Amino acid sequence: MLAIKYNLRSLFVRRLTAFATLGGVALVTFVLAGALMLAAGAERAMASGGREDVAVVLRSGSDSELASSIDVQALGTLRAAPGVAAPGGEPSVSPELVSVVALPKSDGSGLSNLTVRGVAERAFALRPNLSIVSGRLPAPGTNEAIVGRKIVGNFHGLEVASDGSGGEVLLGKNRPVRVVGVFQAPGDSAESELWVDLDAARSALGRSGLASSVRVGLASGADLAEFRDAVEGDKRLGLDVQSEADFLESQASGLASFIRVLGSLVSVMFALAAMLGAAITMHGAVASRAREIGTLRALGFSRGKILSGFLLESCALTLGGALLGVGLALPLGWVEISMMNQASWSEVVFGFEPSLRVLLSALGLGAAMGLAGGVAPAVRAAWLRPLEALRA
Amino acid sequence: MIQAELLTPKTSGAPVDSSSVEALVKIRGVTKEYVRGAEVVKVLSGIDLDIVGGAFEALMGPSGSGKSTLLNLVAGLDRPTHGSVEVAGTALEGLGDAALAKWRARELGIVFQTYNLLPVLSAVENVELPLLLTSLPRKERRLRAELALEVVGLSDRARHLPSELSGGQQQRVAIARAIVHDPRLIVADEPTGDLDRKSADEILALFQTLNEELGKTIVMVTHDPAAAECAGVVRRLDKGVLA
Amino acid sequence: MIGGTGISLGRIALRNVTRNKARFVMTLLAVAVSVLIYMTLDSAKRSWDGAKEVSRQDRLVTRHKITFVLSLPKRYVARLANAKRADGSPLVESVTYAVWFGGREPNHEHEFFQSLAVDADTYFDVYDEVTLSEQALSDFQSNLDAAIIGQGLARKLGLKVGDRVTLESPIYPSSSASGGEPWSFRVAGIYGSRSRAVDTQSFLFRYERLNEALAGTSRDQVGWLVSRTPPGADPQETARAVDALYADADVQTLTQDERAFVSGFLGMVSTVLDVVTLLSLAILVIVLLVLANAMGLSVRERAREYASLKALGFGARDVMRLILLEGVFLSLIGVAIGAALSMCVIDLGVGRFFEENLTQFFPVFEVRPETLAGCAVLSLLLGVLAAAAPAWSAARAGVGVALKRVA
Repeated sequence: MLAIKYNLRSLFVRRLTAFATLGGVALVTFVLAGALMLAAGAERAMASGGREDVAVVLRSGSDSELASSIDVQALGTLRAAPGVAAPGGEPSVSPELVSVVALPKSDGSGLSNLTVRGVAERAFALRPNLSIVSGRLPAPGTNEAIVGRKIVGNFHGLEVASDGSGGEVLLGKNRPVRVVGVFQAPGDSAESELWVDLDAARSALGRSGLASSVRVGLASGADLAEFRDAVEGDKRLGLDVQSEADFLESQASGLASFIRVLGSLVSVMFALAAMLGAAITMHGAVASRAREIGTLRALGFSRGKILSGFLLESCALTLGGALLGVGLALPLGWVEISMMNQASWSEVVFGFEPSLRVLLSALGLGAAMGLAGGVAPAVRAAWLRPLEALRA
Repeated sequence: MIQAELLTPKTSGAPVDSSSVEALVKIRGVTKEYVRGAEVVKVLSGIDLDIVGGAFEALMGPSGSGKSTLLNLVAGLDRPTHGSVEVAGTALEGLGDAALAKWRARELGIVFQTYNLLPVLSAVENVELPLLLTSLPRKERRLRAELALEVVGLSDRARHLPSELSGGQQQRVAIARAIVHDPRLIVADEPTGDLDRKSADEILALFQTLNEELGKTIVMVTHDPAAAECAGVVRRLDKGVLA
Repeated sequence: MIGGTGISLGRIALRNVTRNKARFVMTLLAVAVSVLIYMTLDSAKRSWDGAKEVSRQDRLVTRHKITFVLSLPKRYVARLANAKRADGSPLVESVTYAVWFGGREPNHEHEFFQSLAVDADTYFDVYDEVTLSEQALSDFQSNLDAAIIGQGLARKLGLKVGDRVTLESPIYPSSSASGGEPWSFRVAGIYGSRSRAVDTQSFLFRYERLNEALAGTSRDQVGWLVSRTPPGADPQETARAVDALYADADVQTLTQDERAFVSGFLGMVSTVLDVVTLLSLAILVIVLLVLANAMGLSVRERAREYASLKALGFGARDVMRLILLEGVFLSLIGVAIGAALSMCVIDLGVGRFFEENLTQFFPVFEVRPETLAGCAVLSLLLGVLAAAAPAWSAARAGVGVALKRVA
C-alpha cells in the first residue's frame, strides 16, 4: 500500500538516525532473547529428560539429593512397595549416592565443585536415554567411572584414560577412579556429573550404608500415587516420593527462573532507554515532515490515517530492530556456558535454546517499544493543524 | 491527448454567464478574524461571492489583502468567523474536521506554491496519493495516476523522485495530483510563484486546458498579471474587501 | 554597547542543545535511565569484588579436603589448638568450629538465613568483630537452649531477646536421638557487627545441643574449623602447616584464608560477573546510539545554520568543535542527572537492601568514587563519539549546498 510505502521510505531517507534507533532496539532484544534462550536451555538440559514412570525417593524435607540421606535399611521396604517394576524378578530399585567434590579445573582457574554420583548397575536400566558416546560402561564393583559429555575435559583428569595416562580423578586419599567412558543423557543434569560405582563412592566418601536418593522404576500401568501413598504413609521411613520429571523440574526451575527474571528485568530497563530512542527519532521525523503531513491533511487524509501511519513507521523501526536482535541471538545456539546451580552447589553446563516463544517475546517487546515510543509523536503529527503545518 | 472516458468534461468551454448557471461556490457574508495577542485582526469582512461551475477565476490583491485566506476557506482548510461557504451544495460549516477531510478528498484538488510533493514518493506515486482515500482497486488507481500524468505531459518522468524534477515539472506533478480523483473544483495558491517565466507559462497553459477541455472550475490566487490574464474572471481583494 | 555577556562557541552550543525541548528532555531521560542501570551493574560488580577486600586474611577456614558436604572429626579441633610452630609458639591463636544446620523457620518459609551450631566458648573470640552484650554471652555460654541471632535476622523474623523460636532442618530432622522432638531455642541475645566481613543474618546455637541429638558416625563431627593466625604470621604458610597436621590422617583437610575462600566462591560464579560486564557494555552502546541519534537529528535540522556560520567566515574546524561541544554538553548533563539519580536509588534504597539481605556477596553496596569517575570519563567519550559523525559531515558540507538545501 502506498501509505505504508510512504512511511517506510521516509525511514530509509533518515537511515542514519533510524539505524541508530534500530541498533539500540536490536541490542535490547538481543539481551532479552539471550536470557530467554538461556533459561530455556537450562530447563531443557536439566529437566526435559525426566520420566513419569520413575519415582525419585528422598529423605522427607530434603529439596535436593545433596541434602538427603537414606539408610539402606529402607531399601527393603521400597522393593516391596506396590507398583514397583520387577523385570526378571529383581525389583527396579536403584540407590544412588550423590556428593560434590572440589576439584581443580583444567583451565587453571582453581577449584570448582563437581557432582559425583555413585550408582549400582540398575541405575542404567532406569535411564534408557543414557548411552555411551565414547569408551565403554564401567565394570561393576571396580573403580571405573564414566563422565557426562557436557563436562568432559572441564576438570583436571576428567577425560577417558588413554593407555594408562590421564583419566584419573582422586575422590579421597589414595582413592582414584579411572574414567573409562563418556555418556550422554539428553535432558538430564547427569550430563554434568561424574558417575562412579556405588560402593567405591561410599568408601571414598566415608558414607557406608547410606544413599542420597533412590530411583524406583514403576511397573507399566502402575500408579505413582499408589506407590507414594505406601512409602510416604510409613512415617518411620520419613521419605518423600515424586516423579523423576517433577524432581528434575524442581532442580532446574530455580536457576531457570533466576535467569529468566533477571534477564527480563534488565531488558525491560534497557527497553526504556531504547523506547526513548525511538521516540526521539519519531519526534524528529514528525517535526521535519510537518509540511508533508500538512499536505496529506490538505489532500483529505484523516487524522486516523496519519496517526496509524506514524505508529506503523515507529513499529517498523523497532520491529526491524527486534528482528535484527533475534537474528543476532540465534547463533548463540552454538554456545554452551557453565554456571553454578544453587540447587546442587555444583557446575552445570548448558546452552542457549532457541524457540518460537523466544522469537515471539522479542518481537512483542519490539512492537511494544515502537508503540510506546511512537504514540506521542504520532498523536502530535495527527493533530497538526493543516494550515500551520503547510506554513512550517 | 486527453482520455475523455476517465476525465469527463462536466461543462464545456469558456466563461459562462453567471446568472444563467447555478453557482458551484457560494460565499455569503464571510468574515475572518484572527486574534493576535490582545488585538483582533480582521482579514476578511463581509465577502459575498459566487463562482459558477466551469469558471477560471483569479484572485488578486496586495500581500495581506486576505486572498489566500479566502482560498483556504473555499478549500475547507480554514473556517470563517462569520458567514457561510457552500461548495456544490455542501455547506462546509456543517462539516466536522473529519468530514471536511473526507470532503476535500472527494471534491477538491489543491495546488500549492511550493508543490508540496512527498519527497520519498515517485511522481506517479505522488499522483496516486489522493486515490488511496477512494475504494478504487490498486490496478485502477495506478492506471488513473498514469493517465493524469499523461494529461500534464509527464508520462516519461513517472518513476522519478521530486528531487529529480525541475520546479515546473514538480508543479505539473502537483496538478496531476489535483485532478487524478476528478474533482470539479481546483484551488491553486500562487501556483507560478516559485517558477521562471517559461515554466510559469506552461503551467498557466495547462490550467487553461484543464478549464476549457475538461471543464474544471479553477480558483487561483496570484500576484502574476500574466496569470490573471489567462483567467476568465479576475477579482481583486483589498484589505479584506472585494473590489 | 559593549557590556553584557559576550557569546562564545560554548554558549551557542549550550543554547543549541536546549533548543528542541522535547528532544532534549527525552534524550536526557534516556541517558539518565541508562546511567542508572550502568551504575547499578557497576556498583554490584565492585561490591562483589569488595567482598574480597573486607574479608580477613588472618582468619583461616579448614574444611574436608574433598567436599564441603563431609564433616571433620571433632578431635581435629584440639589438635589444631595445641599445634606448635618450630620455635615453640602456637601455630594459630584461637580455634573454633561450626556445623551447617540448614535450618528454616516454618513461619517464614521464604526467608533464607544461615544457621550454625557453634562452640559458645570460642566462636566470638575468632569472630571478634561481633558485638554482643556480656550478659547475652554468659547466658549463651551457660544455657544449652540459648541462641544468638544477628540484628538483621531478628528484624526479618520479628524476634527479640527472650522469644522462643523453632527451626526445622532437612539435615537434622529431630533434636533427640530417639526422634520426634522439634528444635526449639530461646533467643538469648542479638548481635551486631563492627565489620562488613561478618553479616548480621545468622542464627547461632550451641554445638552441644546438636551433638547430643546425634548417634553413631555423625556424632562428634564438625563442619569446619576456623582459626586466627598470630600477628605477623604468613596466612598461606600457616594454612599449609594446618593441612600438614592432618596429612596422614584418614580425612585430609583444605585450609584457606577467608579472602582466598571468598575468591574461590566468586570464581564459581564468575559467569555471572562476565554477564554483568557484558550488560554494562551493552547499555553503554545503547546510550551512544541514543546520543548519536539525537545529535544526528539536530545537526541535520541545523545544516543551514552551520552553513551560515561558515558563510560568515567560521572555519570547518570551528563548526566541528561547536557540534562536538553540543554532544559533550548533552552527554554530560544526561550523565550528571543519571548519576544523581543512581546515588539516590542505590545509596538510599537498593544498596541497603542488598547489604542487609545478601551481606556475604555484597558487603558494601554503594556508589563508589571510582564508579563516578568512570562515568564522568565515559560521558565525555560518549558525547564526542556520538557527535563525531554529524560533526564531520557538517564540517565538510559545502556552504552553497547546505544553504540551499530545504530543511
